Amino acid sequence: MSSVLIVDDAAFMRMMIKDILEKNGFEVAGEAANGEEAVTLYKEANPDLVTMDITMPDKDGLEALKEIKGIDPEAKVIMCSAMGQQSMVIEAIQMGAKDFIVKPFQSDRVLEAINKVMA
Amino acid sequence: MDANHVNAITRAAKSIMVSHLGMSVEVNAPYVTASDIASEQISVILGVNGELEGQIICSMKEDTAKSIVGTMMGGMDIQHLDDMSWSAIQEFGNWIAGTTATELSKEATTIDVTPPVINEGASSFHASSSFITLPLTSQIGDLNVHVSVKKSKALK
Ligand SMILES: [Mg+2]
Repeated sequence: MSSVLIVDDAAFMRMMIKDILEKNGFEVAGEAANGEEAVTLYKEANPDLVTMDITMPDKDGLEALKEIKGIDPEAKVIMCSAMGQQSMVIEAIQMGAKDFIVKPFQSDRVLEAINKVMA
Repeated sequence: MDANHVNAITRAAKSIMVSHLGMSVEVNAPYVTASDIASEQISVILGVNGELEGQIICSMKEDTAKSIVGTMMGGMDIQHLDDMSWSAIQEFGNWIAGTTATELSKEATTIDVTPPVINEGASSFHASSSFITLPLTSQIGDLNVHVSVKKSKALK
């Protein structure tokens, strides 16, 4: 079973993503509410995949992505952001994100992205 | 404020309310408010930075917030706004501001959005520059989007 670390400052979004994952046979490795927690939990839990919000307090998702890729260049990170401007998508992909999901999303979009990355 | 910017925010608010939440929404003509605005019971405040600087404030009555949260949770009846509901309404503000960022990028304007803050209780906001208010009416009540942004002085 693949394990996923969910990163979003909104408890509501973490609940939504957790629900999609658990209904589809994924294991939740942990939940982080900011970039700092995300990096710490990544090191501790070593998940197969990360869903990463961008707009978060303290440390945003792009900074966390950079640090996680620094720790583990093979890390699989899918961005999940309400901001979907092309410049940001390109920046995230160049920094090593595997996909970029724009919020609000349909659960199918999340599953499609995860299945593609885990294939 | 640039008319293109107002249009981008209008498209963003409509897209969230109509396409995602499935509400039928009427967008009334935006108007300029002085630097003081009276807000409703619940306001989500988001900072804007990048090529524009300022705030986006989404203001609504408590019942409207409960309807929005209920819809976001997949059609639940929300009697009372608990911590999860507050988180949902913050995220609702983030969706509107984030979609605004996407729409503004199509007008060659790049902004970044800061995490949402909630103001509970009717109050008034004061800013150094004027606000544009975008009034939306829907079956679940009114949503006013107040925007105060100006071109950033410190452009990259
Ligand atoms: Mg966020």
